[in-house]
Amino acid sequence: MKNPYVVLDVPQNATKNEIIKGKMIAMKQRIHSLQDIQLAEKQLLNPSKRLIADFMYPSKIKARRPKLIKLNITPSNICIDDLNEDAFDSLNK
Amino acid sequence: MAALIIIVVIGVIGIIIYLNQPNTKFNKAINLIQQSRLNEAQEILFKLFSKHPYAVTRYSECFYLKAEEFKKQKKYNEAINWYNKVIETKKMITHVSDKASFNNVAQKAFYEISQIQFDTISFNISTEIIKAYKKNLEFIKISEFNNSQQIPELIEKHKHKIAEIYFEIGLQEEKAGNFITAKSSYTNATSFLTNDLSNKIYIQSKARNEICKLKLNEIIDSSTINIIEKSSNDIRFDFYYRYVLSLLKNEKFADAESIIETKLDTKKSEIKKLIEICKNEKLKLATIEIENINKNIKDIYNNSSSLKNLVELYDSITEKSNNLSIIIPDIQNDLAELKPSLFNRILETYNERKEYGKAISLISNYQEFYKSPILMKNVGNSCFNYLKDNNFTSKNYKILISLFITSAYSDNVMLYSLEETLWDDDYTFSLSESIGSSYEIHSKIPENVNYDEISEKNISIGEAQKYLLSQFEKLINEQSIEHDLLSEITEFYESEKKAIENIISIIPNEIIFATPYFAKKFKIANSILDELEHDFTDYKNEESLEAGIPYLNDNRDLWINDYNEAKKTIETLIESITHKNVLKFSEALTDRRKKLISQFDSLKESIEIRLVDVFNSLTKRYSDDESVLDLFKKAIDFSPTKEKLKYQYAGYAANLCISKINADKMKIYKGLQIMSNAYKMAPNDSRVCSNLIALIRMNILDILNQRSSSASNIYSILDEIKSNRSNSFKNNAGELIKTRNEILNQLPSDARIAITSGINLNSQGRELKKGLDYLGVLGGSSTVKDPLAALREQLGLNFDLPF
Repeated sequence: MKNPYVVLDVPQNATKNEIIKGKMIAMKQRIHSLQDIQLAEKQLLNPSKRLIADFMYPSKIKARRPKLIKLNITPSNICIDDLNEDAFDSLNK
Repeated sequence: MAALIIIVVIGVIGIIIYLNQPNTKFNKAINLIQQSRLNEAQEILFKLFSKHPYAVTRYSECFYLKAEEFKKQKKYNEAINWYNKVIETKKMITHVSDKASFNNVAQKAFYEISQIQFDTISFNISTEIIKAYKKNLEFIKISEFNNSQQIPELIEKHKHKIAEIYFEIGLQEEKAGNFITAKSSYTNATSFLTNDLSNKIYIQSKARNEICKLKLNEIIDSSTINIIEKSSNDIRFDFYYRYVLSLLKNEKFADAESIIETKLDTKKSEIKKLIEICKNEKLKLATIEIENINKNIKDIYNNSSSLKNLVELYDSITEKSNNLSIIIPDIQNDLAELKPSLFNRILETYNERKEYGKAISLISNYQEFYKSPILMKNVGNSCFNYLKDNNFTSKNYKILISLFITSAYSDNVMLYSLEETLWDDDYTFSLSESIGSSYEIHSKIPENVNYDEISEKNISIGEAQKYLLSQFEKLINEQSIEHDLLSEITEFYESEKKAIENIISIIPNEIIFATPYFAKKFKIANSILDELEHDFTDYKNEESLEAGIPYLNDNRDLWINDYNEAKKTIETLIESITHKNVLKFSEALTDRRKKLISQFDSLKESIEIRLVDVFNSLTKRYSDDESVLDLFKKAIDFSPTKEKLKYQYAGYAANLCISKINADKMKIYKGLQIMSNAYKMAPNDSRVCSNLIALIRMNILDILNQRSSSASNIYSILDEIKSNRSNSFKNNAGELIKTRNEILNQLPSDARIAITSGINLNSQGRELKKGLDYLGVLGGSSTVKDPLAALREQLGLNFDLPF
């Protein structure tokens, strides 16, 4: 069972015209056999068979275009050398 | 007179001899010591060194006493001189001297010398004093008299003093900034106090030693942390502060942060600075991390990101998000938004490369993927495609089958597809025959979906679902795998399918319907079990309990668990009958289990027929086994309905009796026992009745012919039958009357009259009459009643007449 959407190179929401157009292009490209192309067209034009084809068609989950992450926090200027090593000196207590 | 003189002379000589005896002299010396006349005592004792064992000891004791006097007067030099004389007395020891007693005195004297020398060292912080203490320690160490009990304590005192001085020197050096020297002094101090965690000097020396190391930027000994924990707050705080600084300098931020949180006072300004530094460091690391992520995102824009990089980023994104969000709280949303996009990219690549196994793993690891129709669809088509390449193995078939079936049975997957597909024509789709729901459970359905009848324009969703399943089944059967594995897979497939169908047919609510394996693996079994449980509670529908069994995964207090146990108990009983195991049958049937079974009507109703079936097969295997009768009795006792089982028992018992008696393997009395039990079970069974009657006849004839030793037992059995004769029994009982008449006809007429009247019978006659009476009564005749009995009673003729 070849995926008819792949054979005709049309999206899952292809209209009837797009399917027919897809068939024409596929026949010119000759990537798939004539039999496969005709079967694919038949499947997509038959609502029951198209349901099955839809099941076999991998879908994408909802996703946003990835955005570059901006960092709005800047480090403070404090440096380790600014610290007094003897701040808690226990020797003189 | 002369005699008197002689006696006096002898007496004087005796006294002189007595006075010159060593003991006498020794005692005199002791008296003198007691009077503190020590020089006089020593003079006497000096002469007794070779004659009395304790002379030397007492002699030395005199020196000891003199020393004590000086000690009291705090004339320590003189005292030491006299104590030394005690020790020097050792030279006087002779072969008769008691060395042990002398040693005691010498040890005491030595201790006193050592103690005076220790006490007279004037304590101050200097190495000279350390030397003095060490010298005295050496003095103690080399002496042969250093065994006094007090000596160890005195040694410890020396060590403490030395440690104290070293510690104080260490402090002075540390204050002067000479940390190396200070460290050395602290180490010296601790070396004199071996691991004494109760000693303040020891703890402080250890702690200060580590502080000096930190001051010198040296690595500290982490094993000393537990000792530092015992030091004073000031020292501890000082140490940890410096330690954190050292860790930060060495970029050990996590360790530093942990110490700041647990050991330091975060309210203090200097500590706040430390926290700030840690935060800065984390921020720096976060910036690098985010730069890396941004690089990956740019690669995705440019389509130049490798699958490996994508997968690595995807796999680590949750962890990265958790770590980074501590520093940058807002970042979680940004990273969460990135995840679906990465997921799509990876899945797309896997599908392009036909790496469906990886696709399945990717999807099934997505959190709560089963809630998403898209992911359920994707996992379904991935499983299908994966199997196309013969990828079933004994390890993966369960997950693949459970994922596909759960996906194919999901109406939501189909509804989602319908939403996503563009339909130019005026088609609608019906859920009326969908396999994913038995009720109109879907709260939201697309506009082109309904529950109406299927037609040319109203397309069946169920048909598509069934087609998918049939294609999957075809794939399973086409797998090039061993026959046994294929059988195992087919069986598993059928059981998963059956289970999901069962729950779909029962549950009227919109939940996630899954196969048992799926439900347990992805922890959604409880929601299914709860629905089934409610169905039983509300409608007493035991099919709900049956449907729930495959989904059980723990011992929750559920009706389904009770039902399962009850069902298992019945299986155990059936199995124990199959294996003719009476003991196992009895053990399986505890009171609790009986009670469990009694709660479920469908189980109760099924019991008798199941028992009849299993006994059918058992009795075929064991046609004449008396132990089967015991099993039968137990089964009849347990079964809520019994009629069929009773007839089955009666038939088996009758067959067993007939075959054994005919083969002469059973006595007729035993036969009567078994057959009468069969009769009790099935009193109207004609075959049982006719055989029972034959056995009654044979047993009575045996009694009459005096061949039976069980007459009273036989009559007891017959009494029970007599009072409970069934119609079938009565119809077959003519044989008994016939026998009775034959016996009577063989008797002479007077004997016959005597027997029938019951008058003038001897014991033999009475026995015969009894047997004939039983034949009569059981045979159905009511005329056997003694006609003269009433007359005899009236005439008072209640005595036997000679026969």
